[in-house]
Amino acid sequence: MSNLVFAAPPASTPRHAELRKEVRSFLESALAGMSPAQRASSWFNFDADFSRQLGARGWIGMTWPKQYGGSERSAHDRYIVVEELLAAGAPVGAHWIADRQSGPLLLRFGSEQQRQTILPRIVRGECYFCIGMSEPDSGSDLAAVRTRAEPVNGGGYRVNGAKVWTTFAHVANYMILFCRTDDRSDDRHKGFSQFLVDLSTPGITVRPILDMGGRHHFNEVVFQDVFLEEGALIGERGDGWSQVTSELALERSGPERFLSSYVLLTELVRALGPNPDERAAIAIGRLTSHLIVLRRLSRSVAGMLESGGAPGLQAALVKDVGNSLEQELPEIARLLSSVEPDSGSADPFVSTLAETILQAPIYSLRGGAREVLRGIIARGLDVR
Amino acid sequence: MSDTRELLVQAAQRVFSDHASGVVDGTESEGDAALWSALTEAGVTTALHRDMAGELGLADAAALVRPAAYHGAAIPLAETLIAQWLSADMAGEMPTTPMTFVTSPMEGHAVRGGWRIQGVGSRIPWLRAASHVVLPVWVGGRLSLAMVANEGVSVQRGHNLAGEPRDEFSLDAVTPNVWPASAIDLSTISALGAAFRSIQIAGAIDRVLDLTVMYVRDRIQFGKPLSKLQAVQQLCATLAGHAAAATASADLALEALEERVDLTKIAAAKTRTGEAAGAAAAIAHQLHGAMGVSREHVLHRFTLRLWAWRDEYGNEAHWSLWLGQQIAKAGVEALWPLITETRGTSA
Repeated sequence: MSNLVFAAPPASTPRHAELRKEVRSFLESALAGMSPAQRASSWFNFDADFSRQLGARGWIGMTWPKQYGGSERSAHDRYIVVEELLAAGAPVGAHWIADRQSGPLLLRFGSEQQRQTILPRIVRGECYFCIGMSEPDSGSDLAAVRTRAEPVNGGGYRVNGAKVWTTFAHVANYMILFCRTDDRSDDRHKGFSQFLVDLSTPGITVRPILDMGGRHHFNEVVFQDVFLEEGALIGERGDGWSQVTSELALERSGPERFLSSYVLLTELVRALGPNPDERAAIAIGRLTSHLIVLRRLSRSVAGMLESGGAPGLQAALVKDVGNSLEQELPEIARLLSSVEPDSGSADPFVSTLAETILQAPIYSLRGGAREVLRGIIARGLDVR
Repeated sequence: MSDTRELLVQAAQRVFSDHASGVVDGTESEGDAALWSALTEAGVTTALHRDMAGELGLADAAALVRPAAYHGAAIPLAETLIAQWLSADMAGEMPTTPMTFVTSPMEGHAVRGGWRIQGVGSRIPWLRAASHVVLPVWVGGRLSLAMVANEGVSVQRGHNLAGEPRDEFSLDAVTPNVWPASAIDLSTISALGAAFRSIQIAGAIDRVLDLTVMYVRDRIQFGKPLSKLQAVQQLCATLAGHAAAATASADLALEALEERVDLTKIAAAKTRTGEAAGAAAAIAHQLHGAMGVSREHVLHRFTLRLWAWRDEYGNEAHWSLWLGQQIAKAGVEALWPLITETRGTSA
């Protein structure tokens, strides 16, 4: 049979149920004041105070070693916390990138000094990251990046170039910068490196790029003769490509890949009430079936990752199938009512619908555009 | 997967691979007798037989229909296993021959020598090949189960889209084998059918994916294999997404048969596999070109079954409606606990 094997998801124990209960009861009070429309932008909501509260409970950097402030919990524990946060629409934006991507990158490739200075602050929920990958001429084609860090006589690097679509660069403390350190060669993937950049370093200019809904989360970040110490290099000079691709492969299958529009489903079920017509009940049942199956796939990949597997193909599939459902959800929801989407509406379903429609295009762009992912999947199937 | 289950599935897989080449057109309507006897020797066809089953459970047996569907086996394996499981409480001797089951209840009343069972059954899978039929029957207002020998009964032959037998009969027979349906209600019997079809669909989609990947790698057009074309790669990836979803749905259906028969999981599994069946078949045919719709090519043996099975024991709309109504009734606060199977954990 085909190589599409999905291992059974890890079994839940009473201890897991306890953790879930703890998270739910915390969220019930912590999110009491948030409207559904606000909740609909979960990981685009930057709330430093909320992140510090999570940090105080040990729910950031949960799986990291204790010596860096982590609590050495299992990936399964972290999965439970993350899916509960997302399903509730918690404002996880401030620490999200640091917890999911930048922290693990520093753990794997960072220097001891980088780990000691940064990781405990991330765990406390007070140190936030952004990711400097995309550029004006480099979106899906990451190897076209032109920002350059030139070695300086006497040590360190001088950076020039510009990054775009940098989420939360205006509020983050650090950027993981992906840029060129060596000349182009026949191998397009050679000559890149990653740096830990303190965003208060002189020469860095952050300009807002408003999204079509008028919100500010994207930025343009311009580097003009920015001096970085030698110690800012992450991992090995020239290894940037393999470091960054291993980082991306790990973040394709989490619950954030199928729950992005979940808050709208809850508002839809609420609005339809206990006796929906047949068409609406069928739609609710169908969407829920898809979510149950996707969650099983996602947990299966999480289990395979934790037991040391390399489920790159399976992870890419979860993201592709999950993003499609996330985008289909608002399209279905709108046809089950006769309302017009309106962000300013006092009706929670109407405003949540508007918010979700505005965010939906990005679901299948962030973390790898759909078409690129499908190319990865095809290669995994040996269709090339 | 339990060790016993794994061993049995492996044994079945060996038999299926050995017999795969023996599958020829036309076996759908009569059944592949050689395959059946080879499987019987391997203990597969009696996996849930009361006297032989040993430690095997319903889910262990259900896992067998996935490789059967992958290999296009034309046999009443799902039906026989379900009939065996439904007959666990019968008093008489359980047959070791092919059996089938009926989902809609008939009427029964006590007569000399047992119970007289009367009623009409339609779209019964593999009835012509079954020595016995297990069916729900109302006896004095109480639901019971009956096993009736398929002898001297006039069977009206019919077929599903894939040519598999879906027969009907008008029954008026006396049987000594009637017993109370203690833990089984009518919805459970249909749900068993839906769970098994979900698992079969996953097996068939897996095969459709393999056939498609092989075809686009071999077929040369525009001077290169089809697999070099990005448009083809994108479709293969989409097909794989449906295969992955069907795989997870089949696992969910197996889990639904572990302890009590869990209708929520079966509803999700049949809904998702039903949708995947149509999408996967459409992509596979698109990529196979005209070759794929020819009788000569093997693809249709799997796509026709996908189109048939998705509508058996409740299509996507049927199960989505049921699930959607449960969700609406339970209220929005119960939705996330339902998805995460954590009822009772909520704060």
